[in-house]
Amino acid sequence: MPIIYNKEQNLQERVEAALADDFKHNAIETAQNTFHAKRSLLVEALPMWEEYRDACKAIRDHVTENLDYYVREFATNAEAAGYQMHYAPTDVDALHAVLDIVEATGSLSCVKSKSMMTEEIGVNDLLEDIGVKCIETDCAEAIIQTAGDKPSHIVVPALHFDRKAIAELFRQKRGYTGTEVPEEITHFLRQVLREEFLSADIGMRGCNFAVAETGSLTIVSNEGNGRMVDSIPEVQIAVVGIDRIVPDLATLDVMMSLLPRSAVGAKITSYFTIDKGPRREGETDGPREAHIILVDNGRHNLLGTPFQEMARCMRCGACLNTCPVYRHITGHGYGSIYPGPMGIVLTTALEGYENAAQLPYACTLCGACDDVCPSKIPLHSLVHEHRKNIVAGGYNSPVERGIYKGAAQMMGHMPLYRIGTSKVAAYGMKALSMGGDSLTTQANWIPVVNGWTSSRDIDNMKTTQFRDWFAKNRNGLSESVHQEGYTTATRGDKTGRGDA
Amino acid sequence: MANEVPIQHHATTLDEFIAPIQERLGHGPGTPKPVFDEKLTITPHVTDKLDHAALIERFCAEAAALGTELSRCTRESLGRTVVHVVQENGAGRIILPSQQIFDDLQITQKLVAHTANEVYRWDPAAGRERNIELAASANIGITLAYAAIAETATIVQPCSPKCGRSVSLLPSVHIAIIDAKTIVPAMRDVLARLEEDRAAGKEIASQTVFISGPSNTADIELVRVEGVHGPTKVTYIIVED
Repeated sequence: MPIIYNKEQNLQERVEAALADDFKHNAIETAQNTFHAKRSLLVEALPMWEEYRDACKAIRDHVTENLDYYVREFATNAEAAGYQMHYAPTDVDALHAVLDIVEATGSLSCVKSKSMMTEEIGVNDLLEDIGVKCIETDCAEAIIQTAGDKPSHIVVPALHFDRKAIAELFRQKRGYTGTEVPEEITHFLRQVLREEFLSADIGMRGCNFAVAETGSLTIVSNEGNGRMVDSIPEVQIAVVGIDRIVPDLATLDVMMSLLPRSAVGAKITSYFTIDKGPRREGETDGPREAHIILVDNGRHNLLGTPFQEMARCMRCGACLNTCPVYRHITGHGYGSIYPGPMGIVLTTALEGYENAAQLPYACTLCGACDDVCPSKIPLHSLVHEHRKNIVAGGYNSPVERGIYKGAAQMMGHMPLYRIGTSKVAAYGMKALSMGGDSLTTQANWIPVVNGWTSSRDIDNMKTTQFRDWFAKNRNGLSESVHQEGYTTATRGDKTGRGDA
Repeated sequence: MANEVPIQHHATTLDEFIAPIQERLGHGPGTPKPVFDEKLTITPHVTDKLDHAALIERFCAEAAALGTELSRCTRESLGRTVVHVVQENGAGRIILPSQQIFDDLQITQKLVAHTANEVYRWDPAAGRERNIELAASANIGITLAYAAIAETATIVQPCSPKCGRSVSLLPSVHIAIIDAKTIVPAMRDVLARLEEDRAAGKEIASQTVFISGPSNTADIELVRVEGVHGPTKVTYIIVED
């Protein structure tokens, strides 16, 4: 399945690789700061922001709860508008639909505008395999495609390349002869991609919101590649997830009040297009035939579970832009086309715990994502929900299960608990820490413990237990605290001894 | 990592596609139309309390913030203003829709008489190849907006046989003429107008674009660059009576 693109490395290996790449996580840090600051300014200027969020949640939940009705309404109206409909329960079905259209139209080339749904079904690989030239036209996607790399962000996927690397890449692979100035590189892309737009057989696109009542598709874009894909090629293929549907045109106002502000910290994007069917009689541009491939790909399985709230996600990336974990491990740390908080929840829900049981642990459960989500998805609670399911289903590692089993036994058994928290343990720790006050890197040889000590210290347990100390000192408390220098009672809590 | 695509393939019907969704939701076949609370869509906007004159000012201020050039004129001076804006944007072909209103407003005549630019009218009879080719090689495309939004300095541009999608897309410069009367507070009001048209039996266009400034990107190190796949420059002309 193409959602998880890096299965060769496990989470820890991916994280280590991302952390070792200073440019990469510094770039993400800058991007986070920029987007977050721009978004905050706009949101603070809007007293009705919370009203928008509530309305968005209510509208999207209404559609999810009646998804059978709305899929039918959208499909029926889109067909009436002249779209040729294809229904794809799985990604493979979606690829079949693409193949059918390519064959029927005898198409040899395809220009694509940025779309997560086409990433999800893995259409680029298919087109390459059957010899159809497939050109990504979003600047960042063009960089990624030229480099043969994977996106590190859902909105700005090529953040992990600097201008020098991009200029060099285009010099080597696309005959670029200019400087490293972003403007010059971008105008070079405008020129080469313009020719592709004008000659491609197929325009392939995604969809931000599909309007049930009118059978319309919408697309948001700044670069205008969405418009080009939508206006020039004779054949259009729109790949649309069933979780993109909104009831009617009026609902687009709420969605568009939230989406650009959340995604890029702008009031509006340069272009927002509402399409309805192929070109009409008398029109001389726009597609002659327009296809919609409506894709489920496991989404119906989320209905009736806590994860159905993910159907509200509009892929804005605000949760990525605020996440402290994403900031460090970058999109590549997750190994999924959907990174960050929304990515953890969605990837794990769609791919199953057999394939993604590690991802929900790439989260500190801080909840910053919940606060910025325009559709109020309780992301960190859903990550936690995944963790509970992973443990309940036995998908966690045998080592972890062993540790918790042992810990549970010890905690539930008074004599064992006393030994575990007694002087024996305290002196043991002291010995391990070579007489110091805490376990540091010198404990890195100990399995499991080194997961913590490789980057942090563990304070040693005290040789005097609080309950013993308290029994001895309860009558003369105020003096004895200072006399014995016993000021670390609260630190004692951290080591698990705070039961007094 | 391409999916293995088996040769045998069954085309799924809409009913088959919906069945698992219905099952998960515990709905029976033939689900009745759910009741949708339309009040949810009526959200306030910062531009709501402005009177029309203030709306126009707001539109201009937002346009300035986006870096979009703007001229204001009356119906009488429109032709002259268009000529002036065209001259500021250099030589080359102008592509103009074939809507009658461009003649009624004296735009076509003034352009032909007072500029050296070649003027091409988007011609439904000329066919796809020729129209697209001429639009792609034009320097300037001129359109008349359907409506405009004060909150975001956005213009709304539907396509039609006489004004193709390419007119406001392929040339380097897009000049949009806005009737001040059509400036509304928010996107909500344009969507409502589209709904009214629809209720009156006027089908919404095969493509309606909301345009807010030139095409741009920040994909390389987040540096904003204008002029990617759409126009490099957008200029508005507001016509007030």
